[in-house]
Amino acid sequence: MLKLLKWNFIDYIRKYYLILLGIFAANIVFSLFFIGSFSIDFSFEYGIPVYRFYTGERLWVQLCIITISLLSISSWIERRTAPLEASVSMPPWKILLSKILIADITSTAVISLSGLAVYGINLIANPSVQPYYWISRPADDFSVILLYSTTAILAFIFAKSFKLTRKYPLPATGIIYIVVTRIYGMIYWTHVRSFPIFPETGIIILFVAALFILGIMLYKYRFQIR
Amino acid sequence: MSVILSVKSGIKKFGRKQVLDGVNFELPAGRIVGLLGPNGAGKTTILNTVMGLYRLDSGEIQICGEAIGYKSKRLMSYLPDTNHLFTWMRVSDALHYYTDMFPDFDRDRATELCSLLEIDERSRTQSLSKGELERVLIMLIFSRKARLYLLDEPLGGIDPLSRNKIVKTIFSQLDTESTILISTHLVKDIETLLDDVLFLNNGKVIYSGSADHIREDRGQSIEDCYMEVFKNA
Repeated sequence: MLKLLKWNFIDYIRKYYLILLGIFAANIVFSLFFIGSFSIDFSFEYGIPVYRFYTGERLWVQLCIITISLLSISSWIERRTAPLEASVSMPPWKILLSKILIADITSTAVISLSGLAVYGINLIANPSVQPYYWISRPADDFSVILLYSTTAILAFIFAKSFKLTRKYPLPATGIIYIVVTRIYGMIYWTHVRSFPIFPETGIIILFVAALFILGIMLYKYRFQIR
Repeated sequence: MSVILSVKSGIKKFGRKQVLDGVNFELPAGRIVGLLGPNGAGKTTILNTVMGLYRLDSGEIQICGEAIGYKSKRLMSYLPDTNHLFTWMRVSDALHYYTDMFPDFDRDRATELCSLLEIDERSRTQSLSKGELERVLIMLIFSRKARLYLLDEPLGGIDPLSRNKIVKTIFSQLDTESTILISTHLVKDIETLLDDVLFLNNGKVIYSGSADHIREDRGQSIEDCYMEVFKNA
């Protein structure tokens, strides 16, 4: 498993480091000039201006995560190197887990580092700004990114598992991604916001576990590259 | 003699196109088998299905009595018709990858084959010519101790001298427990190697038999037999 993760990670970084740097830079520019982080990404806690490290609420961030996640399964999309992976005798859960971990770790790194850079820039503008999420809720950020990256990978596996969607996997992936994230949104609003029985991280872990099991079943019995 | 690969009633469609149409065959151990047919006959589809890249719509495939799945992959060594290595790899990286990922990979055998096939371990796979790359892939595939070797158009770009070396030193040293399935439409290049042939046309096996039978009883070369069978197909 660790060897698979190592080789997939080396391949991922060597192939896509320029794209990842581009996403990192675009994230900073977008946060500063388009979202307008000087106002929107800040809230006031006890009268102190606090910088919130955004996670999943914004479309832009979701686009970053979905792109980074789909790059982690690019061998299934472009098909050229798929036979190399297909030759390895490895159970489906290990293959899937390695893809999800790569997507999650990379997305978290890109988003956190660009967030940190934006925070630094803001700090220069206003020295009294204090980071909020970054310090107090890293598990939340990581788990929200885990949710979105798992959903993106699961959506692609789903699209490649049925005749109807196999021909147009990327548009189908987008639609499935939206449907699954909306379902999560409904669960979140019902069980976390309206009736706060579970913490959000707990709901996300349950939701991701369900997606992961579904992904393994589809990968094992239905998924095919073409 | 034990059966290494068995395909029963294999049917596969891509959209409306019937690519495999009730394919049946069995490969015993210790044989070199040619899967021969024109372009679009379904040869690559059969190999990709055996490797698990595609799934049959119906039918059954078994490797050494096991249904295909991730466990059966430890028994197979696959050479696709394209460069499937990561684009940034040097030959040494590929050796490292195979050592890490395939427990049956024999590093000493790989070193021996590198020197036999004059492969420079420091060269980048992207900068190799077609023939050089094919030599590298053959070296990697045959450094594994698999039961079933699947080769998709393996010798097309290789010069006659290297091809001769490969045929004499790699294919002919096959142990009696393993089988090689070679898919190609370049019949002449491999006909001296073959123990058995499968002729495939429009997704159907239209002829299967022993190469010796073709040579001795029919008094034909495999290429002549191929031409005759496909002319009448």
